[in-house]
Amino acid sequence: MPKSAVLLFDVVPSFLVKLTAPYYIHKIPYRLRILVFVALSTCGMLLIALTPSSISDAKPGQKPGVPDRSEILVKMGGVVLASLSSGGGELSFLGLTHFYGPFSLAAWGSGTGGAGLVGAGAYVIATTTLGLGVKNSLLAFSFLPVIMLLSFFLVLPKSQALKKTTSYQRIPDAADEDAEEDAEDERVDEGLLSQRSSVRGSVRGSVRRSSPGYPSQSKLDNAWRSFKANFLRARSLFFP
Amino acid sequence: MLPLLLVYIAEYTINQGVAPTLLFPLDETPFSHYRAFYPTYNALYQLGVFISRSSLPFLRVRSLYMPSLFQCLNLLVLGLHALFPFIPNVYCVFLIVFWEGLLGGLVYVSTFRRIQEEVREEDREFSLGATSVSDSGGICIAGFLGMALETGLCAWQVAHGRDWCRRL
Repeated sequence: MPKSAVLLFDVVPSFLVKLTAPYYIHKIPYRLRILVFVALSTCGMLLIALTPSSISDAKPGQKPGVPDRSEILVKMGGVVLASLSSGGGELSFLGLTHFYGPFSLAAWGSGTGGAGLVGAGAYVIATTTLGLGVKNSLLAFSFLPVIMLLSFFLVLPKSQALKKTTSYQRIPDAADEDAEEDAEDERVDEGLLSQRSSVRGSVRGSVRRSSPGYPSQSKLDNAWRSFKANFLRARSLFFP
Repeated sequence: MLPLLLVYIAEYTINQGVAPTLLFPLDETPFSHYRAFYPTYNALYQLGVFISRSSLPFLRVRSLYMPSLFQCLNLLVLGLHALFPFIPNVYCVFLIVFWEGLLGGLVYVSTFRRIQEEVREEDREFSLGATSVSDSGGICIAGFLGMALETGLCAWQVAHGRDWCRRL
């Protein structure tokens, strides 16, 4: 399998998660997210480590076989799981730094930098200096995600904001619709950078048109407005 | 998001597309195999990234576009060298690759620090998460660019009498 294809399996899932998750992941509490990411990472690594390999399992004197389709697909599946965990984890932990002050961002940056060094170095040490085979090295590293569990649940100080499911913005209830609509539009507009007036007009226009009359319609409306507000925020972040 | 995207495109294109072709005659280097260049470049790059990503408490660089520009310049310089060798020895390339790591890590932490400082409270959590898509997007794009560049540059080098990239 060409190197570039493996890279795609590693990078594309992470990219898709980071692109879409900010719009829905705020519904999932942080504790649950961490558990899911640790599970994904561990399963991914185990899948790769434990899939019988026709290359490394070849008997001495026997020519190593060409890996068959199913072996490759299962291993790529492992890579995909790890990539999903990596993408989701990165954006979650980044968002979490919001609750812990500016130094947490500095520490997080340093940690991700160190991960690059340690990740590459540990594999080299395990396979060359320590002489562990590829399979055993991967098996050993499958336990690394447990450190994430320990650091999140035991080391990290509890923050008030993690107690309940957070949402990015308060959704006005049906009674205050009209008054809050204007206020909300103003807040979105005066956000980080100034919005172009045409954008402002279209948001206001679509919000007015979709004024709900019934509770069920209102929930969908709120979700749509929340999505739209988030999308506009993301758009305005593009050119700092 | 844009500076982060640009920096990552340039950075990963260098790492995947150009670095494998940045080779020198072995007797001018501390290496005994052609395949030793790439991991060394990678190690220096990672070291640069680690240092700059840890620099937030000590150093604040406000501009996001300048380092991104320098990174694109890095890509240009190293790419040109792969085509028309003008860098005198491998130690200069070591320095450039280390500098590449420094720039990449710098834009990364500076972008998120700017969001922390400039985005208002209720939008911050979302914005921090949403911006992380830029580095993944950059890596994706660079993956495709790198594929093309590596094969193209190596073929060019072989056609011009330097077949080191085939001797890995």
